[in-house]
Amino acid sequence: MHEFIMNIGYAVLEFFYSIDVGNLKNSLSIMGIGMLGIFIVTGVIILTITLLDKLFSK
Amino acid sequence: MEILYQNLLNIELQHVIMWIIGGILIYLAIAKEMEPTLLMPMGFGAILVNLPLEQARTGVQHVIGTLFNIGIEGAELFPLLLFIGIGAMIDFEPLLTNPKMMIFGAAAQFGIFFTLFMASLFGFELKDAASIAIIGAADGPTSIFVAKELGSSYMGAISVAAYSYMALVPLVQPPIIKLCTTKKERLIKMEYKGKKVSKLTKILFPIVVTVIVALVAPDAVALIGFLMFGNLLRECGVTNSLSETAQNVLANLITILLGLTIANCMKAEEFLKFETLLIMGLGLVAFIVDTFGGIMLAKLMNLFTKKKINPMIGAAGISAFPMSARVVHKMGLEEDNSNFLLMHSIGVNVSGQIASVIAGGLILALVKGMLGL
Repeated sequence: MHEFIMNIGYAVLEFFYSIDVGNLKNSLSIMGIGMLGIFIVTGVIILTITLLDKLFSK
Repeated sequence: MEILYQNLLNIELQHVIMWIIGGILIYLAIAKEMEPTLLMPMGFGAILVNLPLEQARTGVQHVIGTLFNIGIEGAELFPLLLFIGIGAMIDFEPLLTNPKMMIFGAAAQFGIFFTLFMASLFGFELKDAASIAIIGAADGPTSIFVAKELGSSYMGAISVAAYSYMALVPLVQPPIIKLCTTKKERLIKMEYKGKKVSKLTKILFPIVVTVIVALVAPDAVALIGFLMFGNLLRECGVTNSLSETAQNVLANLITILLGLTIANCMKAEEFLKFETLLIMGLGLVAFIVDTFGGIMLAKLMNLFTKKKINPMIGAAGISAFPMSARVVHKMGLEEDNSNFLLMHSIGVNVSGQIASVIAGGLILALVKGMLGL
């Protein structure tokens, strides 16, 4: 049982040791910039549609 | 005599496994009616490209490989042409009636970026992580387009995951929606004011959206351009025959070719890897977190607005049109049979189509920028 737990522990450490931190940092920055970008573009589209509707609705 | 059984000796276990996988896709398409127009050709194609007979493989590979080179490898022709058909099928009026709903379409793309992070955590290279993440766009052509542009090695698994989960939306979303909302929230009634949208607005909408998206995310111009061109064919009123052709003949023709062609990426040696299972798992995570993202924004907005929003409609921001909208509407009726959420959820659902393309374009721009592609 003790050996089993040790093996799990080593596997977890190995997993964390193998993480490419640079890649993770890149993915986090893509997450932040990407979501911000989507909301900004969406905001612009919403404003444009509202303006179009006000200009051209009867 | 030998020639009759000689090829039987060429059968390998990996071929048999791929035949079974192809068979499962065909079963899901026919018996369960899950995205039959795509899963059936993909399933059959998977069997074709995994035949053990050298001459048959060569013959099949030559045809499917040629179609792949023309339709996907060369210029992503098939997904883009299919988008014309999809654009022609979509009625953006529910969104134009209440454009603020588009914010939920944006929020429901959170799963894409979260999955990008998770895929990186699991050791995938950035370009592959981004290609896997785009499964969360819940849009086959976008997934194929982005995966091809980034040169991902997992296009087969990504395509199977994208189309399978799109079909599984009625199974995946309801438990997540129930987990993230209270009964009181699910009972919130939303009034629908059927405002008439002018024809000029409907005509200008696709043009304006194309220009706006192109300015911010130029890599998405092909996708958004073709989608909006299809929509313009529909809305301009003078190209009805083209619109009908796009919705029916073009869409069906490209769907036949796309499904069969994607199977080129389902050869056993490319598909039967541990990473394929991981991709299936990450694809599911993308859909779940997309649903969560849309709902959470609605709940957040309810803290600040007087007129409450039923948070379930946030879940419709996932681009799986129109299944996601129908799921939300059905759940609304189950809670209260006088609560008609359909027009709100359709508006959010079609906005998710636009938002998923924007997400795809942004991912392409950001990843290509980071990798210097």
